[in-house]
Amino acid sequence: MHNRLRIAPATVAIALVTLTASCGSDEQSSDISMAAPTASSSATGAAVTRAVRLTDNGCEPTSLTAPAGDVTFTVTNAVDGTDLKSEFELLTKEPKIIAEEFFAQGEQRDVKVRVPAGDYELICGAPSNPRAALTITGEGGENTAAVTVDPAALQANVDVYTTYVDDQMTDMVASNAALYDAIVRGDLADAQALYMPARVQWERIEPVAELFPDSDAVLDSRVDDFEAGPTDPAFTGWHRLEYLMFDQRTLDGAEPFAAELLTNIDVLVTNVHGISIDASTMINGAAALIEEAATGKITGEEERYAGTSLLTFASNVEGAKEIVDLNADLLRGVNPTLYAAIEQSFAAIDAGLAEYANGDGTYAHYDTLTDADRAPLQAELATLSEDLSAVAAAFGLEVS
Amino acid sequence: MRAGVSRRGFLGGSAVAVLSTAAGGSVLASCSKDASADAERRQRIGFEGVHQQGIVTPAQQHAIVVAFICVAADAVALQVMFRTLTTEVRDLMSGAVAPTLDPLLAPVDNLIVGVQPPADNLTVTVGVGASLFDDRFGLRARTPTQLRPMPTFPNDKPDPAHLHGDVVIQICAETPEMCNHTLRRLMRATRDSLVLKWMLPGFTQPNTLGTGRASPRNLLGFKDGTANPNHAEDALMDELVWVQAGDDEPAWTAGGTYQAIRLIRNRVEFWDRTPLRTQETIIGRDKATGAPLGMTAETDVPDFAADPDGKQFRLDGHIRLANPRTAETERNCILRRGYNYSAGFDKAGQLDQGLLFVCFQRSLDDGFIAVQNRLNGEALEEYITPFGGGLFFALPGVTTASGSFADALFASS
Repeated sequence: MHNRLRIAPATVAIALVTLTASCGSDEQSSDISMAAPTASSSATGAAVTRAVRLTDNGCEPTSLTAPAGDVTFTVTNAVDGTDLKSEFELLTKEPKIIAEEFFAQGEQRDVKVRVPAGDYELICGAPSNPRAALTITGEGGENTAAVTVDPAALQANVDVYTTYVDDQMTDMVASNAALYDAIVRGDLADAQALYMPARVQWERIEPVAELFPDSDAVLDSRVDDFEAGPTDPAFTGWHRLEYLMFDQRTLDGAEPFAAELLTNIDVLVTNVHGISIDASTMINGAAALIEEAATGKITGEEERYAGTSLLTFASNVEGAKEIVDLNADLLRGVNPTLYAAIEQSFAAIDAGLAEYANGDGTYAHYDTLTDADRAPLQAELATLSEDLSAVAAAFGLEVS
Repeated sequence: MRAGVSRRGFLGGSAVAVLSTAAGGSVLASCSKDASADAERRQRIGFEGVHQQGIVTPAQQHAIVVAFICVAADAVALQVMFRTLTTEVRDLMSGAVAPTLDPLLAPVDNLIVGVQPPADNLTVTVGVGASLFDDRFGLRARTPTQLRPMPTFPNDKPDPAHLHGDVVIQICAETPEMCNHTLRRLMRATRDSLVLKWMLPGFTQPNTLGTGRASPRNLLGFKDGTANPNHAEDALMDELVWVQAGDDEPAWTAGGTYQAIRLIRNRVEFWDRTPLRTQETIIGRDKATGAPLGMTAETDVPDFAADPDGKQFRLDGHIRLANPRTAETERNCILRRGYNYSAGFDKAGQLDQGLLFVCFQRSLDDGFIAVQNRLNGEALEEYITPFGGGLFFALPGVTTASGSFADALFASS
């Protein structure tokens, strides 16, 4: 799925530099902050400026400190190993991009950001260059000015959501361990039955899990991601097992993939525990889940071998509903009409899904649905996507 | 999960700057080679009228024809959908500037054609299929008399993914950008009711209907549309195209017209290696001039009666079957308004090109059905494969500034 918080491979960043260079027009100095720009004074009241040079070997200096609040970086591009544009990027450890700008050779320009206390990294020049450390200390720099809801209540919801995500992680570890056991026992029927129970937690929290693109790639890649098709050695994770169990109908060769799956899930759990989910990630997670259902699940391609796309679809919807329910009071407070529309869409989708429910938590095989069956679900998802895309704005949150 | 998604900057500021610069450059380039005559020809076409636009309107250079399944819950929801659609079409055709919202929200307009939409001869034509008159909306008694699902003709290879539809929208303008801008605005506004069933973009040369201009060529390389009735003759259009009060039709249909759409693939590789003489006898025209075989001008009228054995015009040739030029076949005259299409290639490595055939007529049975029945078995069949489309009824025009497409359909009568 497309999550714009994810880190792209270095090759993509390089391609971006090339593209930008071909443009030939220089962007002007720009204000970049996480929310709408407001007052420009820092916590100390004085203008804070830091000079940074982009070089062939990274940033100069390699370590910077600044007080929390508005910080202006005066960036000079001193890279001479390429005449393509070079990058200046400020990101958190999560990592989340705060600012990203490109500079022509010799160009000097200001980049303004608003940052709270914390440890950050700077990328200068090529994305593969060693990163500089930026330490921000003191009070201020939060982007609460534009938030339209009670920040404390919003943060409380974030805390509850974080617990929900943690619970899903715990369940994911257990359900995948059960799947692994069935595979090791060589019990195909049992393994098939345990496949979807091992999938649903990921699908409920996908936008958070996908903050870690490496995990996404090894756990949830589809066969379409591989040129060589289902037998591509790089094709791993759930869908490789799905292919073996439901298409090839065998567990031969499945154990190594299942073992790797468990290892990769452990990595994911560690990573997710290491970040703090912010309000924007939570709120946009609901919209992202429905976009995911509307693009990947409604086509049936997600679980193409098992035919269980309706259950992953339902899990996406469940994860989105969790977020909306959690924030229902806040949303009702700032935009009751939007809240009502969203509730109505969820109800319609639930009713639509219920027509295909088997009553035991499973759904009809996706191949049994006709275009006419899918049409109302498509319309509801499109409506809900449109409405959910407005929730962040209702809360005064920027979509990162 | 999908590979290759870029970081924020790629979708955000930097990349947008690149794309907009590139687009700006190409627009300037095309302007510089004197497009003043062309620009003059581009207008805003008025929305309101007894008839919809995009039917007798001179054909624009680009089109998207798109069919939808309608999932509106009931008759009220259907009327709401038509009302929303009407508002959006009215705004788009008049070039209204979309409102600016809080930048935290998704913008109303896609800005594909900029903040101030240019005059581009945009027309949007809305039709309904027989399936809309089933029991969902209580419209069964209002079904246009001759409206039914498109039958399968002997040479058809119907692909269910490209057939029929509850609602069809024909978007025409001088640029593909305007067509796509319009498509996305319309779909976004009606997302809760209309779900895509099939669509096909098409292109043609400018001003192909009447007005003394030479006919455009289709992708078989032949002049097409030569014998089309003149759209500028109102009386002729009343006779051939527009359903009239008093016709054997529900009263609400007056001012509307039957729209037959056929997606016809041409086997262009096979055609390109067919001898010229064979091509010309299959069609019945000189390929270079468009004149009927043995005649001199494109508009010369062939005398098939004088050639009963098919010595000049083979008996299964296209123009002979399509329009035999007899007194009794005059009423079979249809207003063709088709486009060419090019949609990639198939698994055999053969191009998927052909004709997005669209025609309008007052009577389906006298018009498209009669013509197609005559064409069954024509020599050209070896080179063409009709695979989709449908029969629709293009709604009567919206006559007042507060009116809706649904007004006629739901009018008490």
